[in-house]
Amino acid sequence: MKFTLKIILYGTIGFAAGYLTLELLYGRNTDATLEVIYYWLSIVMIVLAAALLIYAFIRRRKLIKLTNDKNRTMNEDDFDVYSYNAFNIITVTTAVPLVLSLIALAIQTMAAENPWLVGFTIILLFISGFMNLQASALINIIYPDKDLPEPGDKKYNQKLLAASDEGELFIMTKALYSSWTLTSMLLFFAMIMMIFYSFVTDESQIFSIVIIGLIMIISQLKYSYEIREK
Amino acid sequence: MRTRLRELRARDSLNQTQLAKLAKVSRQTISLIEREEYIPSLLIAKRMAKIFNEPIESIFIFDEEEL
Repeated sequence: MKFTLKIILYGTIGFAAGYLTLELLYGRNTDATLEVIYYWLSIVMIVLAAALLIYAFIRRRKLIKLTNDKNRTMNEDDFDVYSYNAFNIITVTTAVPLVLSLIALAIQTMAAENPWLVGFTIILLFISGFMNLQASALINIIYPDKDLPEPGDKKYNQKLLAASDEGELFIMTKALYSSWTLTSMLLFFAMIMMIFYSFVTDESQIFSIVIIGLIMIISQLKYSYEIREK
Repeated sequence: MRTRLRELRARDSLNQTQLAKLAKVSRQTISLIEREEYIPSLLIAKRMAKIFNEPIESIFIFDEEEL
């Protein structure tokens, strides 16, 4: 299933990138074509973000209901695995719409300029932000016995780390390291793609390239600073 | 490292959550140790030894090359 989804995702991205490149290189009316592509891209993002938020809302309600159900038949271990995985899914399905709606808003305000869609996307952005906070608060509902920080806490990250035991820290370290490596690699490819895009379309992406470069340098410096021997 | 944690847990009719509460760790940590993906700290090993009333070296078994 995962493999099929990956193939579909890569295929869609590949098709979109290829189509966009061909249109930009050989299209008759580049600006108009781009506007149409951006418009539909933002529509897809808005629909996807809304669908993910609805899914997150349903999963959240189900998880809270099950957590408060004193007569649930699931054994303790199975319930812990279920709630842990459900929490992960809810976190992802509220974080992704936040990014999608922000990109859609950028497209709508800069390229498409449809006031109704701009309004709807702003609402979607606020809902995503609110549900993101609610997803963080969910951990206190799932693990009431643990001394976990509230989502608005200024030292949330430090307190969350302090409340985690060595096994949880081990899992987080492994996950964060692989995520950091992937992010660095993707940012590097994004820079190359933007350089290529600038050459092909004559639309300078220097600002974005510099920003990405700075993020990569700051991220590397921060990592080296944190792991240095004190 | 091999571990007899799962076997000892079954012997004492404890599930992972119950053992985690006794050892003052998360269920994820117990699961990691049982899957032999993580070598616990001395403190957790000592707690396990106390819970199961077994010496540490009979719960966590190392190969000669590892020592």
